[in-house]
Amino acid sequence: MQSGLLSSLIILPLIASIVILLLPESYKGSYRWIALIVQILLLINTGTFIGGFEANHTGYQFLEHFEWIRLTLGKTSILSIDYIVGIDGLSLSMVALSVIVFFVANISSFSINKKEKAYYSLFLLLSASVIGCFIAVDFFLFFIFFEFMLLPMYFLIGIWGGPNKAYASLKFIIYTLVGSVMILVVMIALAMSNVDEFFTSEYKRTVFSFDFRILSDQANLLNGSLLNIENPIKIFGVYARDFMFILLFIGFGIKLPMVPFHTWLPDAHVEAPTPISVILAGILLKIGGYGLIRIAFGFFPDVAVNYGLLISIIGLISILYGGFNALAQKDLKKLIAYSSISHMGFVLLGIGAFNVEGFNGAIFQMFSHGLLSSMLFLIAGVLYERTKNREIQNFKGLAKIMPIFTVMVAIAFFGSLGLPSLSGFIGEFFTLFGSFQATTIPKVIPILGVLGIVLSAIYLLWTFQKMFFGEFWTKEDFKNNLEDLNQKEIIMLGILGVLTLLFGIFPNILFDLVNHTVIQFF
Amino acid sequence: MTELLEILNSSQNILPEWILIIGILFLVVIVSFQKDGSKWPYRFSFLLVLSYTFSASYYYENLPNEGIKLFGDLLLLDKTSLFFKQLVALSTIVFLIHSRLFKYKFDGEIYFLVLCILLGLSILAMTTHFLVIYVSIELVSISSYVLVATKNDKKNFEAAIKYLIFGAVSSAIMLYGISLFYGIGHTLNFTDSVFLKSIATNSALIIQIISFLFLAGLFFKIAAAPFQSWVPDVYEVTSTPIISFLSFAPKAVGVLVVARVVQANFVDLNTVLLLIIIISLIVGNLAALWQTNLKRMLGYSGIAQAGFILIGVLKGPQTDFYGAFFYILTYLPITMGAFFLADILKKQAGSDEMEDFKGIGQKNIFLGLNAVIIMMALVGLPPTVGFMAKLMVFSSIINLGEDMHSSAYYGLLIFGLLNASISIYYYLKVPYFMLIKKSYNQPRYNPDFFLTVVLSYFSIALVVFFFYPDYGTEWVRKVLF
Repeated sequence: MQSGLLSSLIILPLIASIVILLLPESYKGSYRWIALIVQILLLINTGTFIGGFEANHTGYQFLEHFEWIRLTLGKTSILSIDYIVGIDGLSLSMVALSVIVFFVANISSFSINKKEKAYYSLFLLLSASVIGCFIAVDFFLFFIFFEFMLLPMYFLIGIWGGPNKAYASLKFIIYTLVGSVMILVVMIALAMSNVDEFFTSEYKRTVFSFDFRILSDQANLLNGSLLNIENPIKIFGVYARDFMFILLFIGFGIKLPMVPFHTWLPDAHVEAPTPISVILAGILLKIGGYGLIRIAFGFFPDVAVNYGLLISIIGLISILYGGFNALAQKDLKKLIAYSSISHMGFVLLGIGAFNVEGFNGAIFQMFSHGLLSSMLFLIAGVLYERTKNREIQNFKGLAKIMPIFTVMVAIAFFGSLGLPSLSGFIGEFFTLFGSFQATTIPKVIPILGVLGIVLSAIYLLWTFQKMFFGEFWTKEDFKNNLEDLNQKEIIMLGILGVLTLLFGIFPNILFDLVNHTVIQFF
Repeated sequence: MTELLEILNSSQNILPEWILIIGILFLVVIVSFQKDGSKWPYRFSFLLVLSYTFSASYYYENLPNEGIKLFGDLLLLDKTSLFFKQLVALSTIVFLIHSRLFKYKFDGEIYFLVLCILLGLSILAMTTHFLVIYVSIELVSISSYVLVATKNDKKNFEAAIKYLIFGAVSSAIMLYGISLFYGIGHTLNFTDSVFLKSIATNSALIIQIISFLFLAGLFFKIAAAPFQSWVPDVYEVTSTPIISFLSFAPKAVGVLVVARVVQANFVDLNTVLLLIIIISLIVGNLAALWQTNLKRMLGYSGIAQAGFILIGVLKGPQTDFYGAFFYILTYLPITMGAFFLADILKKQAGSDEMEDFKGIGQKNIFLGLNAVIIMMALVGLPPTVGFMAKLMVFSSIINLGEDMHSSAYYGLLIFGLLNASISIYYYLKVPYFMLIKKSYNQPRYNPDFFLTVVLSYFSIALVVFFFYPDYGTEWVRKVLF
């Protein structure tokens, strides 16, 4: 079955991006609508996938497979690179998150009025490569999308960013590129060790494959190859498989971001324009988590077992370090950026538990953090747009003049600090639960992890109280600009708020989708 | 009598070189009888290179895989040498077109010198004989010194003198190495069985040192560190089309000769090569970080790229130089495209300083897009063929590490990749200034649409060969040793 429907998630934004690039400048007003229509189409498409998805069916669905490159490597072997896309529960949940986040970010982009042509074509390019990353079932294809994401992001931060944008965008691209070259090493090593039996007998030459389905089955590992499980080769004193796992862990960890590779994130967030911040926090960070689950744990389960503790510890450090840093921030956006680091630490904690509950929790936490952090950055954007200022201490008693805004902020803040009935709670609960269940992890780690929730309650409630309660007061003359939310903002925040509530009350919507996929890992 | 027949027989097989030699003599006549500024030298050279290219391709069909020996064992005509001859000829054609499009008013002598380099490289590409290697390298080098010095400028003389001195020193070292080899090996052809037998009786360390001495001349041509110090000055002052040609052609054939030495397998060069690679990557990348001049930056980047290419030459049980040759194939459009871009930018900004490129890409988004693609190819990012080339080279190291059971290769792999990711900093400077920085001044030059279209041939090729690398890989596979 090659309907091409799944590919449309990549192709539609790509085409639209080229169309926008070619449209003359006199159609300037239409760019945003073209982009929005594409995002709505993607939403509808994703809806049909969710509708047609058979949740208790393991393996990839809606597969599309085209032969792409048969790279002859020397005289005896072929590197087979295919265009394969497909979705399982894990990728479907991430695709759903990305279309939602991109839709919201697109509406938020309406306030961009500088070089719109370049902006929207880059925006759509980014959308195509992010979704491509999630639906690729070929490591090579995944990697291309993964790398290709960097350039649109570089320009989106670099051109439309704040005063220190050059530094932030460069830091972002260099950090991520270092991460991705580590993934590249593993990609080459994995491909050179995994053989596609079927094509090998057909071509009479060794055919190395990048297909996820082949890579995840250890029966395909070539005897005597670098990553064969029995291989005694040590690289810098660790076994080859361990070495590759560590590379993957760092590579995706930079993207996630985990402490101590997180320093690019606050910089990038502070400088990026609101919609790009939303995308960065809402979906780009999730690629790190997705890659860890799909690639690091999916292809190296034998190694991953031994590193559960290390991953949990780093997760815990991220939670606490991010939390304490957030406490000290004066800039609202920076506070949210550090809270992102803290919340993504829960994802690491869940992954490190290496059991069904932990993985389910990690995926749920990614999804929920996608919704909530998008909300939070939109909230920071609302204030910034009105006053060109984000200092927490400059605002007081906003509830008096911005009541709807206050409600939205309350949903986002309480969701983030893990109030039951909002989605943040479920994710944190399950990751901690998984961590408690895991036999390899001492109980003190999840216990300290709970402290992270306390921390987030402290900094979020503190901020909420300082900014929204009490007598209305602002520094300088922001007063005249402070109006309550307009329609556009109500739509954006409303959609996210409703979804947060929905997934908080009915978490099974997501768990049913991902459960069978997760069970496969064990 | 048999010797005479051998010579006659061999002469038939180097028809392209004969065409070139006779053509070059004709060119001298044309240059001396034409007025200055005549277009005939250009036209004649173009015709000459075309006929050289076609006559070289003619031999592909009937060549046995191991090649044929000519003039005793002075020359070795095999498919690999044909491949490199064609590449060099192709780069000459690009040079000619480049200089024409930008209306460079070169004297006839320039074409004469470039054709001499082509001849030298063409002979260098098909020999395993020390003396022939030396003579052809000298032919290339001396022509290059003169090429650099032809512009009547103080800076040019300085660069040319630097080039000359470093070149002379490295060829002296090379000659020293050759004479030592002759003393030990009793013959001058390093594929000869007598040579291999006599070499084997000596200690490996001595042979390694001698090989390093011998390779000095080649590393000089490849622009690998520590023989690189001429690069930035020469790159900065030489006319762009000339340096575009010099950045590719000698490097390509130099790597071929290194590969032939490695293939002959009389010495373990991996340690030497590892050192050269690491120094080249460090020197090239770190120095490039601080450059403000685009051509200087491309010079340093060429040093780093030489390091990447040499990775593909490291010897293992399965080595077939596939990665290196494919890298060189892709390096032609990448580096020559980059210099073409540099020339367009110079025309618009009035200088090679990257600061002056501010806002050019905003006025001409098409040019900006091309710059992004070409610089991405230099970094080695998908979707450009630069990524494929790096992929090949790095997968060859993984194979090597697997076969040799040594962590050093994985260290090199990670080191190389980290270097590739550092390089994004300086390569992105070009699109950064073009697209992100606003220009303070009014546009100084109308965007030249036609040149941008020609440039986009390069960038389209870079993207298309990413999606369909099979054309390139099949070609390279056929010409492996």
